Amino acid sequence: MTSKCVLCQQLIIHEFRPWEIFIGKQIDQEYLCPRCFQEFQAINQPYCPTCGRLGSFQQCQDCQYWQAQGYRGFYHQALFTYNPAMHDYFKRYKRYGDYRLRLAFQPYLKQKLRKLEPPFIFVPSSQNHWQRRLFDPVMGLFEGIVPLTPALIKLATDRSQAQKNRQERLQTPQFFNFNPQFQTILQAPRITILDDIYTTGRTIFHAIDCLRQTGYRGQIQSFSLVR
Amino acid sequence: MGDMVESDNLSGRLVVTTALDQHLEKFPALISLSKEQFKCQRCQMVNQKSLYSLTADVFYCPDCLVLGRLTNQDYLLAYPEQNNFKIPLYPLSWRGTLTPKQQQISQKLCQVQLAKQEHLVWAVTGSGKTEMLFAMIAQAVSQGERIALAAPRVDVCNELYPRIQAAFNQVSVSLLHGQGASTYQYSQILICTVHQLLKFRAAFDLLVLDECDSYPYINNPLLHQAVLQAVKPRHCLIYLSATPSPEYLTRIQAGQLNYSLLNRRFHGHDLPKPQFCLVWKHNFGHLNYQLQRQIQFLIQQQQRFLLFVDSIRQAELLSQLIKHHFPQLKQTFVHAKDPLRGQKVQEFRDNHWQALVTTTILERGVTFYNIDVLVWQADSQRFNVQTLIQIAGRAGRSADHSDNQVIFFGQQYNSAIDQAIKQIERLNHDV
Repeated sequence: MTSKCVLCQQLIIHEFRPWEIFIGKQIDQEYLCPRCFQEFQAINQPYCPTCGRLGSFQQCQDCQYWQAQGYRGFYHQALFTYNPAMHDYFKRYKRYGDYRLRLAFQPYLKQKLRKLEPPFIFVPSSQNHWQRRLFDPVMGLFEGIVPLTPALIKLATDRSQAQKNRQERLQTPQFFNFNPQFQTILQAPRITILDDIYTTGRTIFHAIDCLRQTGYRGQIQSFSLVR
Repeated sequence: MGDMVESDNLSGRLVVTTALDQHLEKFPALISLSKEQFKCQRCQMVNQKSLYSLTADVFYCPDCLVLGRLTNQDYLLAYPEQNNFKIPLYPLSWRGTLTPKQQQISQKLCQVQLAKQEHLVWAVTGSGKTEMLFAMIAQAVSQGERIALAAPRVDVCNELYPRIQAAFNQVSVSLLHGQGASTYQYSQILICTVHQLLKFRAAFDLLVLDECDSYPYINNPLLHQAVLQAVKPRHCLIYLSATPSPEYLTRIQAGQLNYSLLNRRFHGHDLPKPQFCLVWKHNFGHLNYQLQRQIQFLIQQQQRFLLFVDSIRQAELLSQLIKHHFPQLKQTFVHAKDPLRGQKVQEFRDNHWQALVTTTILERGVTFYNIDVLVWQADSQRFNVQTLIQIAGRAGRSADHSDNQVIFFGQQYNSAIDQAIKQIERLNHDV
């Protein structure tokens, strides 16, 4: 099977491995060529046990901060680090609005999300951003892989998280509302929150707060493409 | 007065507008060709709706995305060029002299400009191409023409801008590319990347395309289209190259394109002829013995050198290996993704480093004083004839060190290496 790399437009030629031929397993369509893919850095051990940050088996400073804020039992996972290649990817995907790039990591997300449990709630973009892009970047990444529940509503903020420094990010007040239409998902024993990038954790913890305020007492875990 | 400035800024521009715009000449940005395909009216590229759709009936053009995404809800509007310039009595403030050979080409270009033709200037690396253009540009300025100097890469534009500004200090000159914060301003001479030409429609009477054989312009239909759309129907188009690609050579052979050849550097010496060094094994994880010996020799001679490699990974790897073998040698690596790229190149220029391991980013448009050039894995697919000639052209650029060495290391003597060496020999011989 051949297709073109969504980043560099080169033809991707899948090299079959012996076991793939024996098992006769269907090969997922690939969207990144090996040369582009090797620019991204996958998160492998050692990483922070509670947020997946690459570097050490110890809990990272961000997680210690959240623990000091009174949060317990949070658990975040991620696939890649935020390196120059990833910066470039998000510039093209979110800033330039190249919606096709949503497919780039689909095979990897598919593999990973198989191990996580529904219902999946994603972090939505604000109305302004939607009007400019005409798509929701987080929804784009995960759509078609897992069933998504749009249970969170993003309220208008003066600036996006990406435009702020660390301190400003952490001090941003709650910007989510729970959509009461989806009350039923609160019956689930476990909820997974999906986002594109986890930087300080502010967004995810606001989402957790929002769910807790509606009275949810079950387990909450979260996942992002990038940490 | 304010109105006039605004209309000047629109002169010759292709602007994006909406369905609400009442202007009669607006036209849709994307047009449907069939149920499945659409064409972008800014870059003329054809794509599939299903691959590039945002919602059920909104699709976007992926090819000219960096200039701002166009969807089928957008409209375009082309403003006619006004040629509204204040023409100075003596546009050219440059007071240098040309060699007789340069003079000859300079005069030829003035004729080409009057006759509104297309012309290729084939001038070897380091021969003073830019200066040969001055008389022609001055002539066009006097005639009230609008002029663009475009190059495929930002670095080349940045290097060109101050030189043109100094040579034409009575004329409005501006610089436009995607990596600068400067806003667009109407000027008689514009220096820009080829990408930016997509924002113009029938604007320029004279367009000079520098490094017309280099990436990303070469084999890129989008950028070729950008050039054709930016010039007026009656225009003069000058291509500059040290290593014309087959595209131009076939046009020359077919008699569709005239050219002038300048095969002497301004100092009159030969181009350094590359030597080929056959390498038996690329012993992985070790520094190849032949390369090691050559570096040893260069260290003894205290000769500064550039080592070209074919990929970012190789650059980092080789730099590490060299560090391991020759810890006393001051060297580092540089590549396109290196955040310290500009700084490292400047440090090399300032003699802070004795050697630099580099990818092809330093293949053209840069001048270093007295350096030798080594190319590792010159037989790699990523080095084509043009690249190899350009790389060899980094050596011997100053009059007192015109005999710098150029060595290609490779496991095979392939046709790109053969052609590069032969072309340099040929250029040296016919005077």
